[in-house]
Amino acid sequence: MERLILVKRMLIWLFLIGMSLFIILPLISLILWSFTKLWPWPELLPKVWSLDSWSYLFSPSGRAFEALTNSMVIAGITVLLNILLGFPAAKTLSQRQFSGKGMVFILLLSPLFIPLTVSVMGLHHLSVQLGFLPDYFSTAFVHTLVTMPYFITMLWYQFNLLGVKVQEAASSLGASGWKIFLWIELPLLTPALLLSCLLVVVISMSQYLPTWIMSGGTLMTMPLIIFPFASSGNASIVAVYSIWFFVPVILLVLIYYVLLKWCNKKVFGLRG
Amino acid sequence: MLVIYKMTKSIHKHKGLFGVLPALLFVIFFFIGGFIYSFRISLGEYEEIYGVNEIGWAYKELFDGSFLASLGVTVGIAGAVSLLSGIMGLLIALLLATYTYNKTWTHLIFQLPFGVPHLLAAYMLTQVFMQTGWYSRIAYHLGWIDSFEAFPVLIHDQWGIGVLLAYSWKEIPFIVLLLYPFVTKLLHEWRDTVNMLGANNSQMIRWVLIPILLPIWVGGMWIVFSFVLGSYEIPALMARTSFGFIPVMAWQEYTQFGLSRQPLAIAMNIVLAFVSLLIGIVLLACQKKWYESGRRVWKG
Repeated sequence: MERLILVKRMLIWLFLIGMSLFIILPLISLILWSFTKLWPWPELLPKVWSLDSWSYLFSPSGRAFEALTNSMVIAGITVLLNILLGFPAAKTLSQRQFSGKGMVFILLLSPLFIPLTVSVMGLHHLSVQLGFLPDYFSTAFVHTLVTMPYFITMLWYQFNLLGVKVQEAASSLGASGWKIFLWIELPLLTPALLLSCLLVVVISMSQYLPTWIMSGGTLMTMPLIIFPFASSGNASIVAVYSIWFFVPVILLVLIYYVLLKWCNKKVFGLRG
Repeated sequence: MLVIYKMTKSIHKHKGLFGVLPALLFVIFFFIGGFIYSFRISLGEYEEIYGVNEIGWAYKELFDGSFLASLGVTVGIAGAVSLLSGIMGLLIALLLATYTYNKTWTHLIFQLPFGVPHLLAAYMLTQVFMQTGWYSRIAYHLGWIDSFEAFPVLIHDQWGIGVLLAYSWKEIPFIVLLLYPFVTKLLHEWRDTVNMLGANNSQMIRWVLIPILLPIWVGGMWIVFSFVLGSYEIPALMARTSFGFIPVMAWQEYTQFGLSRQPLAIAMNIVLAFVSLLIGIVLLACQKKWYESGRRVWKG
């Protein structure tokens, strides 16, 4: 019996380690590829290292900073739209009861469950006909469509966890709706809000098809620059661009943790 | 006067509901509005842009050709991906919650793929799994194979294994991320009750965890399914063209053959959207039934 449990444990650990390797090894291969141009079979590690791809990335034709700026601008607008539209929606859905609530919820989440390429294609024609929106905004609108279901669900869940007890207490002490929001709900929800925004930025930065369709293939975000290299099989260049893509993501995650720590100290430190 | 009074009173009463209105209008205008606009294009309207044709020509052309076979392959792969990642995701979430709840680094590993776009996932998995890729080199150095031809063809292969691998790399962690908070919460809440009643671990999973998790779990699989149904990057980079993945075919029609073929591309995507919607309606009906029968079990 003892032995059986031991074998079972070992199998479980083997499985978990196998899955972890399945996830991590491709990333390591990517880093290796970025520092070499020539890496023939069956070399386990490249023998000839070079920084050519990195110098291409930062050369004028590499358009590294242009792509990054475009991606970040669109992600920024997307986050703003999400906060403006999604935050009040999540609050209402969590705290109010009304008829047709289930329908409203399903409608708000529907872009998750139905492929939205169709809508994006229609919107592109609409925006061409109207012709007054800059590509940045029309693309950000579509990215908002993609990300808002995640944003609303996450915040809705956090609002549910928060409940309404504290707000009721504040209300009975004479606080107005805005005061309750500003001094109770917002501080308590800041960690969840930060995480949702991080998620929105990452999802928005990874969109390929919606960005392409809405801008007609002219708005050079990171994925749009990478795709031609990936489909022509230029391993080293793609590796360099991928790492360039991860730089802002990692930076944002770090910023998230710093802000989270600061927020916990400020909010929960005061309470405790 | 009374009418105005009643109106202001009713507005005041429902004032809080205005919070949901902007988001709702946004989704209705852009998602449903865009869909309707696309649908009209696919039927053959806007002749000044897309050329004069009979109404519904795009659909006639679709169902004349090999489209149904492609639809079968696309839906099949999407179904396989969602089932595989659903089962593996649940398994990993359970194992992580039981064995490694105090080791944060194991959770971090499963969060990594979330920051990687599908495009890069496709590219990275191609680089490691192809015949001259990294895994084939490792196999060579371990002495398992002596030439790269001996390594199995996994990319651009006959069965779509490469596509399945790349999607698993992205979607299993998604399901883990989705389920993990609920699994830990349920384990925490139910462990004592279950132990007291004398059930073992597998009984607990079968009779407590899965029934409670089912709506979220199936919902997650549905998200994966409809995502795979509509996504382009992974099949475009990793599958044989002979597979005829509909998103890839539609994209070719959309970009390569001029405006007159775009209604056809839109029609293909509309068929996919309807498949997803249909499966969604079936799932929602099942969920309703499940809840009804589930409640009866609790009461009895």
